[in-house]
Amino acid sequence: MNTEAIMAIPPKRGGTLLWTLALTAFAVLIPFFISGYQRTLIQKSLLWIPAVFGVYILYSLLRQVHFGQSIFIGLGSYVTAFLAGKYYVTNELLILLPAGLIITIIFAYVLGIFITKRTGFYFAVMGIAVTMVFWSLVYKARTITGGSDGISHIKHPCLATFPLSDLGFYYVCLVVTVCMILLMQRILNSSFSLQLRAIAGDLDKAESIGIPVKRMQNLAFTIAGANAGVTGVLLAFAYNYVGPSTFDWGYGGNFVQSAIIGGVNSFAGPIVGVFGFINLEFFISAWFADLWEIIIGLTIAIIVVTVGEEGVTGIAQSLFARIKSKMKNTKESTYKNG
Amino acid sequence: MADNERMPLLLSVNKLRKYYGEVKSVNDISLEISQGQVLTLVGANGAGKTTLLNLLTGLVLPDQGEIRLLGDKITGVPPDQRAKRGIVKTFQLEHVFEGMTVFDNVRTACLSSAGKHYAFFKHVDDEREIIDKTNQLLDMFDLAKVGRTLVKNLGHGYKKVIDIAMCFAMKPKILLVDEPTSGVGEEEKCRIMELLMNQIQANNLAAIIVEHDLNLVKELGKETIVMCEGEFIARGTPDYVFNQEKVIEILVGKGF
Amino acid sequence: MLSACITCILNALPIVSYIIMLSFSLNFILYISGRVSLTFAGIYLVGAYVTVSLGTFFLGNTFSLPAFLAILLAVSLMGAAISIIIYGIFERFLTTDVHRMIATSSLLMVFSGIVKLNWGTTPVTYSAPFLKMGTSEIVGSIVPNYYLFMFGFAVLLMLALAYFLYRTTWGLRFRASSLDGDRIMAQSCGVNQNLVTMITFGISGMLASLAGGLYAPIAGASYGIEGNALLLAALTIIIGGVGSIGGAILTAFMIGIARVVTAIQMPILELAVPFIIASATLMIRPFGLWGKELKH
Repeated sequence: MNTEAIMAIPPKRGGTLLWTLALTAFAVLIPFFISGYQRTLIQKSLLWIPAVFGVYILYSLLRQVHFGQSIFIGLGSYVTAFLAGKYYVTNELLILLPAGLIITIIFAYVLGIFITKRTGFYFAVMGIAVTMVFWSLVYKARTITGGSDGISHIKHPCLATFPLSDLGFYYVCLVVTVCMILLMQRILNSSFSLQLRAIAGDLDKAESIGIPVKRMQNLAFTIAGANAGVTGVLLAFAYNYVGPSTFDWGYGGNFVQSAIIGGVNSFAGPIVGVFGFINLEFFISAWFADLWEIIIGLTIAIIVVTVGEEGVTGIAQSLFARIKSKMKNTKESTYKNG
Repeated sequence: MADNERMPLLLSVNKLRKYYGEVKSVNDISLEISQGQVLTLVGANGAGKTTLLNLLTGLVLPDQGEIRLLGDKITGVPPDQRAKRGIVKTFQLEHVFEGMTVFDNVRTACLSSAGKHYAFFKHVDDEREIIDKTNQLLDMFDLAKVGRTLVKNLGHGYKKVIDIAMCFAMKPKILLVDEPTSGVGEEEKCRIMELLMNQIQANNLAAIIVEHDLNLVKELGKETIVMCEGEFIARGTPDYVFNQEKVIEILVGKGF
Repeated sequence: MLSACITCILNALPIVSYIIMLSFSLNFILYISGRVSLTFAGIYLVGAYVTVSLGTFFLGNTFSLPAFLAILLAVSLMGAAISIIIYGIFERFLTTDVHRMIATSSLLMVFSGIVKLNWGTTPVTYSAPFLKMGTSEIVGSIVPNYYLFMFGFAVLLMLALAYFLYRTTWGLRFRASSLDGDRIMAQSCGVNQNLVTMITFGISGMLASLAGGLYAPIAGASYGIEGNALLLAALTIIIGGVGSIGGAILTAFMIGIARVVTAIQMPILELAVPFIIASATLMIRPFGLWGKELKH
């Protein structure tokens, strides 16, 4: 199946709603059947979803790989850690989420000016460079950020002045993630996205029909960054700790890898990918602790080599299509024979 | 000519110059076009025709000289802004969005010309006016029957027409057409030209058409400019121009 | 003032030669083969570790120049071999730069996983060459001889590469296939593209592992150094542009000296300064200070 063709057709309406409903129902009910530790794993997966959607947007609309999601996760996390931990101001989510968002959006817009200046390799490398610069700044500014120790003792969050239990926070994360998924669905179906797809198809032509290429690309980058900012704010509460490793470029790479596992040609890709990646990580580090980098790295390389960017959802789709056509064939043949 | 002079002056180019190293691609060219005026531009390969068009659209910036659109200086204005103001160009090699359907190609142009760049939350299919306008354009250019086909599955001729349709979606004031018929069979050539000329006349546009096929130029019968080494060497009706000695010298061996 | 400047430049020599070799390792692949690969950083990592292991095993605390050179030769051959093997296995399946980037960045994880498995996460050192080579005095400032040796080595490598590219017929084939030339045209003139690309990857792997090997006696080898290598090489290319040996060397000096100065004056900005230079370059000349405007 030709990837370019699928890329260009925006996702169908309705299909994603079904997916999201199914996911929501699953996530609402699951805490009653599993242990607290398993719940934190699912919570982590839910929180990763917006950040991976950021990578997905840049991949499917700009055809660029963004290794720098960790920049914005780190920024969101540190904003939370400062405001709700070290320099305690508030632990109110209704204030912290917008605060984190505003800061990540400002940073994403300014950094986007430089990063979207060029494409391909340079785009990816600038993403990596920015995370490493932030890492070194945070690592070395001991007095402010706590250096390699990071910041722990972040207060438990409260929502509209009601303090949240762990389970309550889990549901908050679920609501935020579902909202982000619906929002992303709107954005990916908008005329904004159609024009970005056009830019990825042919930049000169896009410019000649009056599309402000650089500004739109920068805005897409900003949207991706804002997604990661949301993830960052909530992750700081989930871990109750923020350290310089949030700015690690390998950590940013994990989001790209999640997107690749899930596949970047279908809207369900990031969701499937995140659950896939986090489960893979969990089981591999439980069973072969020393080998997990090697196994994950090889898995991703093999996925890219064999199915490219189709991922799990792509394979599922083509299998489904094949079964469908087979069933049709058998139906026809029985009809003929009968 | 007298007719054109009453029309408002659209574009004026003053001593435009672009050198690539030693090559004088466009050498101090001046040009004026008014509304409804159609010029055909001919010349051998490397005479600077495409560079001139690129200078006008802003894809290439000039070394010297200025370009004015309706009296406003637009020399440094970026290409997307110029397209919005009405200078629109089709490409020599078809530049279309290969991976998208014909409908989406034209729709993108319509969205852009309506200025809907930052509509993040509205579904594309909910933009009724845009869809109506797109359908109208597809009808105008005889594309309605291939609307749902991916562009890359279509032939050269179709791609040229799609390219032109996208330019018309921009509501151009002046249309720059770079070899609309290159790489297209004889029969399609005439069809494309006819479609193009009909629409140009119907909308009373100014146009510069670069064309290699001299028979076609003759058939069109519009005012013709011959370009050589970055300069205009002859200008007038095709019959007049093609009988000039130096023009024959340059274009000899080009089937004329 | 002058002597302070000279001290600064002399202290920057190791990092400059390190950046020259690494950035050219990447530059060469980008320029000649028009492909993207991040594996060079992994090869650099392995090169550093293998040099330390071989050095401590064969030489220990003693030092002899021929033996050290032999180790470097072995390391460079290993780097070339790894690079060519990875190219041979993966290249035929990877069609776009995006895929190459994701696949090779995953391979970087594999490299660091292997290093962690073999050597653990505690840094290892082998500083005999650095300590035993002695020091010399240049215009009043004392400099370890190893710094000069490393810089000389890097410059010689670059000269050899320049000679190869611009004075030999094989170099002509490489330039014909590069971004300045035309791959398809070169192919139709009978240049074996597969061979050219393979040798390109080989040379790139050699340079990367040599950078690791030569820098190891100064800085040792530790888990996670490949990120820094990748960053500095890539920023050098963003600043200097693709395909210019002279530009790469000048940029390496610029970044190296900037780093040494900031490391003394304002250690917090050590990594930020090269990045700021790169961002400024992107705004002024998006294709690099010495780069030509390329297709993408």
